[in-house]
Amino acid sequence: MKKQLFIWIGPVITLLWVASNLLTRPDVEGLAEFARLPVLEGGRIKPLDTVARTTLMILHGRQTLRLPDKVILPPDRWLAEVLFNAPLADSRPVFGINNPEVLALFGFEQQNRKFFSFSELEPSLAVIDAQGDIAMGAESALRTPYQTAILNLRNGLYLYQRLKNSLRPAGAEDFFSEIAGFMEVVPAGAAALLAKRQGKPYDQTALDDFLAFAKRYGGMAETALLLPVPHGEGTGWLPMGEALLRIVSEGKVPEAVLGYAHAGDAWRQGNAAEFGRTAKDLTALLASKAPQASRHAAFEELFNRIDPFYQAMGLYVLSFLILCAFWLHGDASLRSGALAVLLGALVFQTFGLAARMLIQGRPPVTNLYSSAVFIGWGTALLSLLLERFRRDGIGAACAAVIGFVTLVIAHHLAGRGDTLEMLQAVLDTNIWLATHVVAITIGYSAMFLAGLLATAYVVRGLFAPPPDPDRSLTRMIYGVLCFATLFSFVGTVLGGIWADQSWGRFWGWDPKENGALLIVLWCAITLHARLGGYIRERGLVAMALFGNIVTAFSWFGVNMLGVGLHSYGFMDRAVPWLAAFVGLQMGLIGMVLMPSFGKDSSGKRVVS
Amino acid sequence: MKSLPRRLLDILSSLKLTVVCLSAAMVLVFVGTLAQVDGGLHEVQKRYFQSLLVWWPHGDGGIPVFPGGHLIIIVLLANLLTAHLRRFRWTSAKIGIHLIHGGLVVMLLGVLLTDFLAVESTMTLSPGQSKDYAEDQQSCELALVETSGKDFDTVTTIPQSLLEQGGVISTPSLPFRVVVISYFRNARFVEPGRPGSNAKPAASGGIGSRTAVVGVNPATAMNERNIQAAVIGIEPLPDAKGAPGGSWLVVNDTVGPQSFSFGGKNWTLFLRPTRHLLPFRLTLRSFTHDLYPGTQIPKNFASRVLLTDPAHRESREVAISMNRPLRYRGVTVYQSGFLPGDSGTILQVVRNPSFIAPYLGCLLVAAGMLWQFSHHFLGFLARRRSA
Repeated sequence: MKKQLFIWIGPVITLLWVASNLLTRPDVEGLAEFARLPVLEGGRIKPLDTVARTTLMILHGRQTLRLPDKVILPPDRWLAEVLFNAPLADSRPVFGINNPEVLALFGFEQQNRKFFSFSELEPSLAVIDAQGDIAMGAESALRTPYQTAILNLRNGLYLYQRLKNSLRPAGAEDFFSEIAGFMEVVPAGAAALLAKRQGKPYDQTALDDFLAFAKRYGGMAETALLLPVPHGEGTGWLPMGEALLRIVSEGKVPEAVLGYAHAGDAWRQGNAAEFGRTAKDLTALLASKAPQASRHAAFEELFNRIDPFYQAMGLYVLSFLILCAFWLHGDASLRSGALAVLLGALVFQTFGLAARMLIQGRPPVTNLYSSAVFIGWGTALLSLLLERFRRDGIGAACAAVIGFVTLVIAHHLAGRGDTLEMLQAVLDTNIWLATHVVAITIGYSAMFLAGLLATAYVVRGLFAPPPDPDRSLTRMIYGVLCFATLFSFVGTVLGGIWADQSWGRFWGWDPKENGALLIVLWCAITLHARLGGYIRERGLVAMALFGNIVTAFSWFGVNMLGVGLHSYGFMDRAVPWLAAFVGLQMGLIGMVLMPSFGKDSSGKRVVS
Repeated sequence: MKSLPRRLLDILSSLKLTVVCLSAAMVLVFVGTLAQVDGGLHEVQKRYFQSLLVWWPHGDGGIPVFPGGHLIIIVLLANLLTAHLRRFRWTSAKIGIHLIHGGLVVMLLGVLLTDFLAVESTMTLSPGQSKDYAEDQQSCELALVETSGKDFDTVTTIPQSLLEQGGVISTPSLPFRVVVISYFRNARFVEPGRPGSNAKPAASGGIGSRTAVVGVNPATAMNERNIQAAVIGIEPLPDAKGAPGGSWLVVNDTVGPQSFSFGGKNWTLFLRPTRHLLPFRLTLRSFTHDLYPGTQIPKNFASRVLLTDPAHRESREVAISMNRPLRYRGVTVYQSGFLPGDSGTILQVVRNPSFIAPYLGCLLVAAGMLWQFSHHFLGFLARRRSA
């Protein structure tokens, strides 16, 4: 009976976890519909929910807004404020500033807080702009932390203002009436404009009234971040301002414009019931005007809400804890429980990867963020395969650790905005993304798995010697390294072929290419050294650990150099983490190579 | 006691040498990657990867400190070939290994061949412009053009390597001697006669009579370019009479043709990027640069060009875009970039007779690895089942 309980504990916890995350609904009527509305931004159709989350991530460093009185504002509610009630949004402490020198610029240095509102920063906009211009002069790799911070702040403020200007012009209290007023002056104004162009007498007042509107909406169209109005057949989307001006050429304003104006006015006046009704009307309207975009946006919003990678992260931790209990107690049903939770985590991660592929219409790895997610997924899968053979929890523990760590890395890589961003022209080829990038990433996965198994070997040798009584662990490491060799080599060569197809150079000694080559060379050295008997068990373990360093260099290190075609993911914040990782591996290598490692209490050598 | 050749052969075919070579390659690749932070990609490639030895600069010359890419590849090739010749066994467990190493031999040979045979150059075209040559931006040549002909000009070019050697150059096609008075790999220009400056005009005629030139260190950063320059003197042949023609300052790709007359004929001279003649002609019809809607992210670059080749009766329009090159008569033309303001296209023109080597090599290696891996894995499964 007790054993049954342990087996069920995993699935039950998994279900409870998921349910608690899915069942929270927004507290404002209509906000759920608002979150699903499709807009064109950053070159692709996405729901407003994604706009809200990625913008908050860039400006605020997290997906929800924490107000000073500990109240938490969900992303969609914050976005609705920015789009419909700018004065209130301007007072929200959104902009994160950590750099003390930037704070000193505004005289904020004594304050014990990190987040500032647009209203607080507004008087300093000119200073920020000027400082940003100076910082732009420095080459990006050579910028000081202050320069990077001021540029980030300037870009953030620019982004915020473009967002604010997307759906309503500045200072509009009753936008719907304003549009009605505009429509009234259009006929006379357009006639006056035509007459003026033809050199005939014209009505100056009518023209001025019309031009004032045209200037207001034209400016709005120029700076708008979002293109919310579907127009014509296919993929044409217009910014709000341009859609309004279409009345001149097309005789009417698109219905979506009026829908957004209605919803915005209701929100602005605090009329919750009216907002709920207009948001639902708008959803129905867009669903009929742009059915496919609406479906895509709704699916992406669901994906955001499920947040599969976050769920998987929690489940990986949970399964690792259950595995620790298994090692302490030795109760086999605990291992089954841990495996069940682990499977749950994998289901979430697989769903997340598949959903991303579906949304993007691309193979799984398109940027550094998705490479982290995919490496974690691949390694977890491989580890579970090993667990099938070994049944001692080591494979499962590897899956849990690597799954969790790679998702944490991915989470930190996501801070730069939309992780489903459009691809630069040269990357716009699904066949090479699907083969070269996936093969390379599987190679990384296998290298990390070999390194993690080697870590398990060292840990066991320290706490529960002998480290590997039947040599199955080192055989496993060897097998995984062979697997890594295969995929790294094939991936590297496919990359060469891509380069040859794209710019006529099979190999260009670009840092990322060299990084991949280093992995292949390291694998080749390891395999040949073992073949020649120059290394034995401990040597293999040490080399697998060093393989971790080589792989980390190839994955992240070369991006930090900031040179070459592949330097698309430059980031300084990761440098100390990479250094710590290298230090850890060196420590483990030192331990396994210590003369006392692998000897029993009488000093007799039990592993070679 | 083995004989010396035999002992050398033992070393050459040893597994130890393989590991040593691979380790050396790893160090070289790592150092060569880090060196790219400070040095330009092209310089680093030449110094570390396309060389027999890596030299540590010291005084005028240098000290060899590490084997270069070519040396490692050559030793590795010798090692692979001798080892396989001596220990070749045709068994199912070994087929994969042979395939892998055979493929590697092909790939390594491909690297060497590409380094020696491949020619990379670029062609810049504005709409309507037409060219039957591509230019190598890394090197330059001196062009001397006789413009007196009614229907055609006669062009004589002197390559960069000869300019670098300096001295006096004469060739049957020129009625005078060309004296390389000075040559600069990277030059800067100053105005002579400024107060506090002792700079003297670089040459007697043309722009050089108003400009002084100084040499600076070759550029290293990715976004910098070397500005090659030379001061060229024109002198009569030793056995001929005639007045000296004077001297000119020529600057690569910057200063246009400067004219002079010699022996009653009109000439121009200028320094230009080295030209590679193509067996066909390309004319740019249009260039398009698409962005993703509402962003500045490039979606695609594409050039529509007219390909003409009278010798082969070809005259047709082709589209060249990102990842979709034009392949014609051993030359491949890629979309590489665009001129500021989308005012024209930059095409990369590559002639690489050994381009097939990596394809062939990787096919062999992949087949071998697959064989070897499944062989091992199936064996592993069989052992588990029987255990």
